[in-house]
Amino acid sequence: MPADPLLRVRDLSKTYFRRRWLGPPRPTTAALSAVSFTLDRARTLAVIGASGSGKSTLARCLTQFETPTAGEILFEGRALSPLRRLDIQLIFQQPATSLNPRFTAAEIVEEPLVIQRRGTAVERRERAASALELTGIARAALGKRAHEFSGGERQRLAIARALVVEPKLLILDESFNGLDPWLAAQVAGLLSSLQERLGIAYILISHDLTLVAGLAHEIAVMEHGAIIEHAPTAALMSQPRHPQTRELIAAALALEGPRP
Amino acid sequence: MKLRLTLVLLAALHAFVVFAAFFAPYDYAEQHRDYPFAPPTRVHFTDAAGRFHLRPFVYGVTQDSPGGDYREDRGRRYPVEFFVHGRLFGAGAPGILFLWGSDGFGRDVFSRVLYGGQISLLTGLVAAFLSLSLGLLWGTLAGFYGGWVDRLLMRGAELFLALPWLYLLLAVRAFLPLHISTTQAFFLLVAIIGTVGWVRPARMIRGVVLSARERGFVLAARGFGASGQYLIRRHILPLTWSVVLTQATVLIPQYILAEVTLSFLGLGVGEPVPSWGNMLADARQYHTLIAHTWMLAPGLATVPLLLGYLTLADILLERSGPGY
Repeated sequence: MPADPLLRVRDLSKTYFRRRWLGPPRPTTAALSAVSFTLDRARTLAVIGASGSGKSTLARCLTQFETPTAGEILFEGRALSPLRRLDIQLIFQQPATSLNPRFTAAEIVEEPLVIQRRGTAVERRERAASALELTGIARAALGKRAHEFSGGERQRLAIARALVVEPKLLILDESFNGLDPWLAAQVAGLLSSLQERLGIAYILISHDLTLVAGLAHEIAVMEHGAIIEHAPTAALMSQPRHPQTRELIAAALALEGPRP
Repeated sequence: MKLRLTLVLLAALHAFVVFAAFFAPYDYAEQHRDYPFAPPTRVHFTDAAGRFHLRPFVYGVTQDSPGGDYREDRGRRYPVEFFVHGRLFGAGAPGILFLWGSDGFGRDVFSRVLYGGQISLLTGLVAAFLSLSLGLLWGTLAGFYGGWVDRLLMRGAELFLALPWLYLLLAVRAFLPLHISTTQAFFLLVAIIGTVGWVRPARMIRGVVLSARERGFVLAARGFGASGQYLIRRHILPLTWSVVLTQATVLIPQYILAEVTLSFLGLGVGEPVPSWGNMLADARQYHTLIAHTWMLAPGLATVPLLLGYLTLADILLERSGPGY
């Protein structure tokens, strides 16, 4: 019997209801309908789709911020539980807002450990420092407050905070938006080197194919809450089967412009 | 700079009041029956012959007839003495020194304003503390837990807003015995003022908490498995401090004025203990306005204090920097 994949999502659905005074709640939006895929360790999956295609809902279901209406999520062969929520970490859409501006870098990065009451204060500080160093921020910056960091550094802080609990899967929800291309490239480089060293799997969520194509091993395209195409990056880029995928690729190429 | 100046002003005003026993030339209850409604005593440096005296002095005053005008008696000269009987200054007996005049019992208005500030300021501070504690508790719980907790708490709070307070106060006054001790009156004042005013801060704090709850870093901490208690303590309460501080600087002067109003209605501390409220209540007669205007001094005393607190509120609001 083959070993379980890191993540197996089966027929995941999420429907939003509107509550009414009388009578049963009325379904309004099907944010996810029967989404299935698997992801192995140290692999990167890009989830591409227009706004409202259900990408973020997927991320929120995987990180247990939302409870799916139907379907199952198996992580290392077992259902998700609050006890293991730290194994899957989410980097928010705007990392800067996910950092408390009054906290120092050290306080931010060690917060998950504090909440989970792991280790002593000294150990926590040490782990925070090494997580920061992994993301390329010097130890000396431990005492700096969040709002003193630049945009790219805050991104790194957010990643360091996710890494401090040694997750096996890191989900980045539109995390490359708002970074200039140069910074985005830096963060991309950081992610690949972390994957090599720590064997973390990534799910990159984006509406822009160009931002994530370079990093992803495979790409899933979503539309109206369903995955319409899922293939290895090279195959999907060269032979897109679904019209929506072709449009996405065409849009990405058009934005890049003619090359000399 | 502006902040420092304001703080110095406020600290000085509070020091005057706290150390009234030192700064005031008389005790608040000390009566000079021979000098009812005496106007402010003039302090002189040069005498009738035009000689300059380094030590200021006052002339004795006499009344032409009972109830008549006061006149300086140039023949009697009393030097102002400093650091006598544990007080900063005073006139050598039998001279009198009423910087802001005297009331109907010949009590020094200046001294009574300083002593009276103790009741007024303490009422303002303690009642503001009470209001803000209630508001913080109520607003945080309602804003953080939302849903039916929020609805229950806020509807309850709005019930408080809807109460006809003036009638309620009169009813409370009618219900209580005619004379209550100073301590009882003080706690009654604090309880009334504090419970009347807590709803507004509660609503503001609820608003802050409600938006704080959805901030990225709160969601992130929740994702790490943080408990409600942790979230409130570490992330949400610090965000409410600027509101609490500015509310405090707004409420304290407002409550000092409320004490004045309530004393006017007879809900304040009773004679002979002074407070700015009951001193002003004394000054409500017609003769005050036409002849004894110095009796309004406690009203003037509130001005620098209110200005100080409101300026402080302004500065604190301006200072709320990034993320605050």
